[in-house]
Amino acid sequence: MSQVQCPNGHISADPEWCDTCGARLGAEPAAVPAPAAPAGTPLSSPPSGAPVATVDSVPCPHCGAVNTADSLFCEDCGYDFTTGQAPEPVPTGTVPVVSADAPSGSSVSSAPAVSTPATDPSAPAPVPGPPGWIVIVEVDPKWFELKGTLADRPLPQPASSTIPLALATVHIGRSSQSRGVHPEIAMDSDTAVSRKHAQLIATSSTGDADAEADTYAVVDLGSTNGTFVVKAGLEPDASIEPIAPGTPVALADGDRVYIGAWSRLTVRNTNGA
Amino acid sequence: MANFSIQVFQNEYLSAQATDVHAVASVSCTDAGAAGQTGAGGAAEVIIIDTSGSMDLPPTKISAARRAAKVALDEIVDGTSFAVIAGYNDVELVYPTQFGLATMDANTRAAAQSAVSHIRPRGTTAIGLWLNTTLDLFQQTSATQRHAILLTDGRVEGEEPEVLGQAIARATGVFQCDCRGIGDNWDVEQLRRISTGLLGSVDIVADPQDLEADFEQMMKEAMSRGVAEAKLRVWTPQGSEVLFVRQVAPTVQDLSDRAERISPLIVEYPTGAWSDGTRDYHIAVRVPVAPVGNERLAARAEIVVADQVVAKGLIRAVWSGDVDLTTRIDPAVAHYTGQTNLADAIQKGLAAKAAGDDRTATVLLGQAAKLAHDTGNEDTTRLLAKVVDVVDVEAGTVRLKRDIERADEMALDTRSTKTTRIRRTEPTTSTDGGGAA
Repeated sequence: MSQVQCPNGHISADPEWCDTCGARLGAEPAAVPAPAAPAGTPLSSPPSGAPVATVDSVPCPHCGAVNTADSLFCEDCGYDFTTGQAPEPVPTGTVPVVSADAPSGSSVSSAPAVSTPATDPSAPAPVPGPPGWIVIVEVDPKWFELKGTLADRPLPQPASSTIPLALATVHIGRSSQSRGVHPEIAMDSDTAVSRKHAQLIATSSTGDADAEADTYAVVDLGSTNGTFVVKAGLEPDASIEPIAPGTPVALADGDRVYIGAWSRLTVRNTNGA
Repeated sequence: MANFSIQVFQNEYLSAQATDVHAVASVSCTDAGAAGQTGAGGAAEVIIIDTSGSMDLPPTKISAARRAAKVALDEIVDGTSFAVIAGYNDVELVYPTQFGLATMDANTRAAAQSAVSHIRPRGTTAIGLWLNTTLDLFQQTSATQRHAILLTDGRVEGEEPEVLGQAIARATGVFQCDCRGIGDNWDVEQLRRISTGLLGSVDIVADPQDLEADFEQMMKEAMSRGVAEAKLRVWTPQGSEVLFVRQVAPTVQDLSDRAERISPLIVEYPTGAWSDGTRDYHIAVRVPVAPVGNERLAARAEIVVADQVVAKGLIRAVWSGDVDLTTRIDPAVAHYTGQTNLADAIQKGLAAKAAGDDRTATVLLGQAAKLAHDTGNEDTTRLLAKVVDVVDVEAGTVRLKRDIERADEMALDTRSTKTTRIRRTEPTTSTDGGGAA
C-alpha cells in the first residue's frame, strides 16, 4: 500500500484520512480556508525568496497560526504537532524557559540520552551542563552575504558577546515577553531566527548514552530558516545544507552554528580539552 | 458468510472551539448462519437450572423449569457440545453425569431430556459456584463459541457475597450468559451484573407458564449466532479522548469499561456473538479543536471478526461558522440520549423507592414517564403505568401507586435498558463491509 504524508507531517497508509491525526488527505481539501489566522503570518516568517517559500504550510490546530508543514511545534503558541498537545498557558515573564519548553527537549532529542530537566516536566530543576563550555555570539558579514535576503534590515555593526553554558539544555531563539519565550541565547535583532529556533543539549562525545556528558550537541527545533553547522576551521559556502530538525548534531571545540541572517555561534571549551 | 455493515448517524458540524463529537454507529449483520457451523470453531451450550429448595414453592416453578430445559435441548443444533447442570448450594451434573460435555445427537438429546425430568429441588442458591462450574465445563471443550443459559428464582445466599463477583470476572471473555429470573424473589441487580459482564440478556419470567416459550426463543437465538465473536474497534486521532462507547439498541449497555487498548490510538470493545440483526452504538469523542473550515476524522468505527476488519464507518468533524449547521442535533443521537436517560431515571427512581425516598422516586419516575412518552417507548410506558399513575405526561408529573405488584416493579427495572429503535432517516455515512469469517 502506498503511503502519503499528511499536512501535519504524519505518514499515513490511508489515502483519505491521516492515520495519526485524522486530517483530511487527498484531492479533497478542507472546505474553506481558515479565517482563523487574520493577523497574517507569524512574526518570524521570512521575507520571500527564502528556501522555505516552497515548503507547504499548515495551520496550527490550537491557535490557527500558519506553520511550515514539518514544524514540530507551533511558532506562535507552542502547540505540539507530534503529540497534539496544547501548550500550557504561560504567565507572562515568570516561568523560566527551561521548564516552559520542557516537552520540546524530550520529544526532539532522540539523542544519546542526556538527563536534562526537559525529560521530566514535573521536575523542572535545572541540570548543570559539562563545565567549561562557552558560546561566542557574533555578527558575521560572510554569513550575511549568503543569507542576507532573509534580513529585514541592514547588517548591524559587528558585535560579539560571550555566554557561558551553565545548563544541560540551553535555548537559542528570540525573546517574546507576550509569549513567555526567554531563550538563554537571545538573538533578538536577527528576525530570521525563529522564536524557538534551536537548543544546545549536553551530550557525550563518544555517543555512548550512559557516558557522562562532556560536550554539547545542537538540535534544530523545527526552525523556519534552519540551523547550519560548520566544523572548526572551515567556512560556510553557498552549498551548505541545514541540519535535520529534531536530530542532535554533536559539536566539538571551535565548531560554529550559523542561524538567521547574520548570526554565528562558536562553541569553545575553556578547559582546553 | 456473514455480512456486516455500519451506518453512521451524526451531525458532523462543530462550532468554533467545540470539541465533542457524538455519533450513532448502526451495525447490521446479515447471513450470520448457525452457531458453530461457520468453520471458525464449534459451539458449546450449558444450561444451568436453579434447583434450590424455593423452586418447589410453588412446585409449578420446578416443573416449568424441567419443561423449559427440555425445549431448549430440542433447539440445540446437532453436533453442538452441551451439558445440563442443576445448581443449589452444590452443583449436580444432570447430563452428562461424568464431568464434561456431550455432543448433541438424537440419543444424547433423549438421554438428557430424561435426566432433566428427574431434577429435584433442595438446598440454597449459590450462583457464583454454578458459574465457576460452568467455566470449568467450557474449559473441557475446544469449541470457541460458548454460551450458557442461567435460570434462577432466588438471590445468592448459599455462598460468600464476593464469590459471585469473582466468578463473573473469571468467566468474562470465556463464555456468554443469558439470565432469566423466575418468580419475584430474585435480585435484578445480581442477574444484571452477570448478564452485563457476560454479554448476555436478562429478563423476568413472572409466570412459570411462560418459561417454555422464553427458553425456546432464547436457545433459538443462541443457535442462530453464526458469528462467534465480533469486536467493535474504535480509532481516534492523536490528542483525542473517547468519552464513552455505549450500546444503545436493542438495549443500553455501557461498553466503556470493557475497552481493550490495541495501540495508542485504537481501542476494541468485545460485542460477543452475532446473529442477524442490528445493534446501535453511541460513540462520543473529544477531539483537539481546529480552526473553522477544518475537517478531520474524529473516529473510525470498525467491526473486527477473527482479526479481519469486515465493516467500517467514519465519524467526521467539520468546524463551521454556520450556526444553522452546528446547532442541529442528529435525530438518532437525540433519540438514544433520551433512551439512555430513560433507563437511568427508571433504575435510580426504583432504587430511591426501595430506599424509602418516595419524593426522589416520584421525580425520577416522572422524568422517566415523560422520556418514555417523548421517545415513543411504548413498552416502557406500559410497564411504568403499573408502578405510577401518570398525572401529566408532558410535565412529567406522576404519583406512585400503592400496593405495587413486586413482579411489575422488577419487570420495569429489568427491562429499563430495552430501547426502541428510531425511524431511519438518511444516514450521513454508509460503508458496506465485505464477507466475514
